[in-house]
Order: sequence, then C-alpha cells, then structure tokens
Amino acid sequence: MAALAIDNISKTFDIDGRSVTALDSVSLDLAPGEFGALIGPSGCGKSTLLRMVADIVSPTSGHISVAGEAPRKARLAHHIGFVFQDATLLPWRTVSENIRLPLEVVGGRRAVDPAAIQALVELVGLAGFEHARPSQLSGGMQQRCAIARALVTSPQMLLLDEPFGALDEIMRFRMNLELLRIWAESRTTALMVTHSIEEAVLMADRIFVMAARPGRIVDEIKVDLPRPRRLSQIGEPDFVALVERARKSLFGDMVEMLQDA
Amino acid sequence: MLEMRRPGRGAGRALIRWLPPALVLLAALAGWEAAARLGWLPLTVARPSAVLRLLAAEYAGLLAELAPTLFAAAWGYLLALAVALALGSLAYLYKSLEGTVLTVGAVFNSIPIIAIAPVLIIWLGLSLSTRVAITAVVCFFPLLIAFVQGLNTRRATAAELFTVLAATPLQRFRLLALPGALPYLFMGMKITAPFALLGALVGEWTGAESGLGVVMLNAMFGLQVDRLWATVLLACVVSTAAYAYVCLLERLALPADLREGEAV
Ligand SMILES: Nc1ncnc2c1ncn2[C@@H]1O[C@H](COP(=O)(O)OP(=O)(O)OP(=O)(O)O)[C@@H](O)[C@H]1O
Ligand SMILES: [Mg+2]
Repeated sequence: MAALAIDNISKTFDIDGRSVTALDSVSLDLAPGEFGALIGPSGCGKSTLLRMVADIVSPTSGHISVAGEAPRKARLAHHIGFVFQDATLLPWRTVSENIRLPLEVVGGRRAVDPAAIQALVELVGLAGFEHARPSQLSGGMQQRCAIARALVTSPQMLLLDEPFGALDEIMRFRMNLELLRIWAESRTTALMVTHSIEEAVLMADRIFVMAARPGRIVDEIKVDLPRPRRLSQIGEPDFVALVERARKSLFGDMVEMLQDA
Repeated sequence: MLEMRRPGRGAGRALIRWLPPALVLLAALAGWEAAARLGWLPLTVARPSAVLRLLAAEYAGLLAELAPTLFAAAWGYLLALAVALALGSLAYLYKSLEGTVLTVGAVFNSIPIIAIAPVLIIWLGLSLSTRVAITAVVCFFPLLIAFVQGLNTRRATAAELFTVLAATPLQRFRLLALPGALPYLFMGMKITAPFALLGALVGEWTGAESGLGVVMLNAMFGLQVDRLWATVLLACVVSTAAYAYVCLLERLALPADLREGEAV
C-alpha cells in the first residue's frame, strides 16, 4: 500500500468572486519510507497540496489517502508531521517545551518521556539549548527545533514546506544532510517543497516538477543516486545531469528561449 | 552565554535611568517651595515643606485611613480581573458570545462612574461592597478588552500547527491563546492599576465612614490645605506603587522579549 496516494486532486479558490484553479488533476504516489520533493514556480500550489495532505484545507475534487486513511483520520490519529516555512515555535516555550508540545496535545503531560525529548534534542543538534527560548536561537536552530517537534510523535508522514527557505547556502546544505540523517533513522515517508533544484536532487528519491496556471505536475524525475547522500556528490556527473534534467522541465519553454537569446 | 547585552550595567545603569527624572522632580519641588514662600502662589496651594511636615507628624493616622481605601481598591481590582478573565475566556471558547460580552462591556463602560455609584449605593448600601463594586466597574472594561484582544491576536501559522496536531478547542485555548494573551493582559493590568485607587476614592466620596477619600473630603470642606495636599500626595504614591507592583509581577512572569512596550 502506498504511504501517500494523491489521486486526481483539483482545488479552486474563490478570490473576489472569481474562481481560480490552484491545482488541476494532480496525482502522485509515495512508497513507505520514500522521500519526495515538490518543485515548481511560486504560486503553482505546492503549499496548497501539502496543506490538503495534512487536512488543513480540503480538495475541491479528487482523493487523498495517507497510509490507506483519509487525511482527516490520519491527522486525528497524529500520523502527520508538518514543518512550516517559518519555524512557528511558541515564543514563551523553551526548546524542549516546544518539542514536546505535540505530546501534550496527544496525551496530556503524562505521556511525555523526558528521555525521548532529550534524544530528539540531540538528534537535531540542539544539546545545550534545551532551556533556550526561540528568540535566543538562530533561524537554522529554530528550524531544527521545528523539525524535532514534527518528529516527536513519530509520524508516518512528514510534510515539509520549504523548511530551509530562510537559510544561507552553507547552513542549508548542512541542514539538508541532517534532515536526511534524521529521516533515515526515523523511517518516515517525507514530502518536501523546495525552490532549490540542487536541494531536491540531493535529498529526494523522486522529484515532482510542477507548473503554474493551473498548478499541475509536468514531470517526475527518479533520483537513483546512492545513499547516504554526501555533499561531494553535488559535483559528480550523475548529479549534474539530474539537476540539468530538472532545470529543463522546470523552466519548460524558457530554456529554449534563453538558448536562442 | 545567552544573556542579552544592554548598554550600561548594574548600579551605573540604574543611576543613569533614575537620576535625571529625580533631579527634575527635586528642581520642581524647590521652585514650588520658593514660589510659595515668596507669596507668588495662592493660599490654596500648599508649601511642599508644610505638606511633608504634616505627613511626618500624622503619618500613623493617615496610614490608618489609607488601609480601608487600599482594601477596597485591591478587592475591586481583583474582582474585575477575575470577571474579565472568566468572561474573556468564555467569549473565546464560545465565539457566539463574544459580540454580546464586548457590547455589554462597552455599554457598562460608557456609563459615567458618578452615575453608577448612586445606583450601587441604593442596591448595596453604604458598605464596603459598594466601594469594591465601584472599583470593579471602573477597572473591568480595560482589562476585558486587553485580554480579549490578546486571546484573538492573529497567529495564522500557529493556528495551522494546532490544526495539524488535532488539538481540541480547549487545548488551543490553554496552550496557544492564553499564554499568547498574557503580555496583553499585563498591559491592561498596568493601565488599570491606578484606576483601582481612583475607583476606591470615588466610592468613598459617595459615602463612607473612613478612608483616604473621606479625609480628602473633610480636608477640602475644612479648608485644611496642607492636609488636602498630603492626601493627594499619598494617592499619587499609592497609584505609582500599584503600577510598579504590576510591572514587577510582569517581570517575574514574562521574559523580556515577551513584554509588550517595555518602558522601564
Ligand atoms: N486561502 C486561500 N485563498 C485563496 N487563494 C489561495 C489560498 N491559498 C492559496 N491560494 C491560491 O492558490 C495558489 C497556490 O498557492 P500556494 O500557496 O499553494 O502556492 P505555492 O506553490 O506554495 O507558492 P510559493 O512557492 O510562493 O509558496 C495561489 O494562486 C494562491 O493565490
Ligand atoms: Mg508555498
């Protein structure tokens, strides 16, 4: 059974009485433990797609199932972890209090095992900052805290909406590899939105390339580079070829336009 | 390691902060004293030295009169706070109640306190409860508005986070809205702390056996200028102290970056 099955999803929004098609007949599947990347121009509906999987908004038509369950059921069963573009930490809570928030929601305070929280803190490299509050952390540290929070309930499905959008290149690559390490250890299925082609190739098993107006998937690229992934792979011919391939389908006709110019 | 850096430290910092206002105040008092001695001021304006002398001589009596006033102010304030917290929470949890709560609160607030006082007196008699009730009425609405606004502050992505977590409305209230509203609530509490004394004094002016307000009235009708000014000074000190006390509570409850409009 697919860990995530998105079947012929469409979504229209009403904006000032006009109906705008944000997504048109989008389908994709992820196998258990697979890492998928969504890449596409701004406004093509990547966030909307993720939010539908997490049951934050509902599709206009089509069907989604998360490990065989409807998104609502998966959400209520706490099978979904979501990392937002900005870390969205609660400013009055410390790092470890933020990480354990989902557990408090799931089962009250009794369910919280301090050792498990501490293990997660260490997993995301925040040891020594357990009692720091978000305002005392850098952007990258906040994002790592948010990732730990998304992992604390051991969700079957991890959704990441441009989690590293605000970071510089160096920090970003470091976080990419850290996230891959965490993902490999936790064996969840992951779907990540990104604006960076290299990030998508570095991290994903499969890349879904989207186009806008209406939002749709125009290409699917299988990334069969060996794991665990390393930064040194970035310069290798296989990697470069995949980046080129993704760039071509992402830019579409524009590639030829640019070559003609 | 995580400590925040601020310009100046410790005693030096306190000196820089407090010295200029203290000097301005002292200069103003000295000027006032001089003007009064030179006869430039009407007799109804007391000399600072005379006021201080009276305070020194009669402080025990005045403090005894202050006690019931403080009592009414404190209980009225706490009553208003409790009602505002309860109604604000209800309005948040049952959104359909919010309009009603805020409208009734606004109407309540628009009635001049001088108009409410006689009604309360007829209802509750010339008792301590009347003065507590008047104080509570004065303090209630600003507290309610601050709390409700704090609860409803837009936290769009945090709200989505709680949706993903499948939080119940009560969990959302307890874990997100309530802690998020605390800075706003403290803002309201700071603004209303001096109102509490105002309410207690007005309550005493409408009729009481003892209290700072009673001393004030008697001094006024008896043309005891020094005494009148001494009570005014006491009222100022108490108001400021109440404000400072709430600021202190806020400091203990909230870390610096969560305090709204950090002034001191
Ligand atoms: N709540 C909403 N109401 C109305 N329209 C919306 C809403 N959310 C999204 N849209 C529309 O849906 C389209 C896709 O938005 P979405 O946020 O999913 O894009 P995106 O691919 O994530 O873009 P970006 O890369 O800039 O984050 C946009 O045209 C947007 O205007
Ligand atoms: Mg987006």
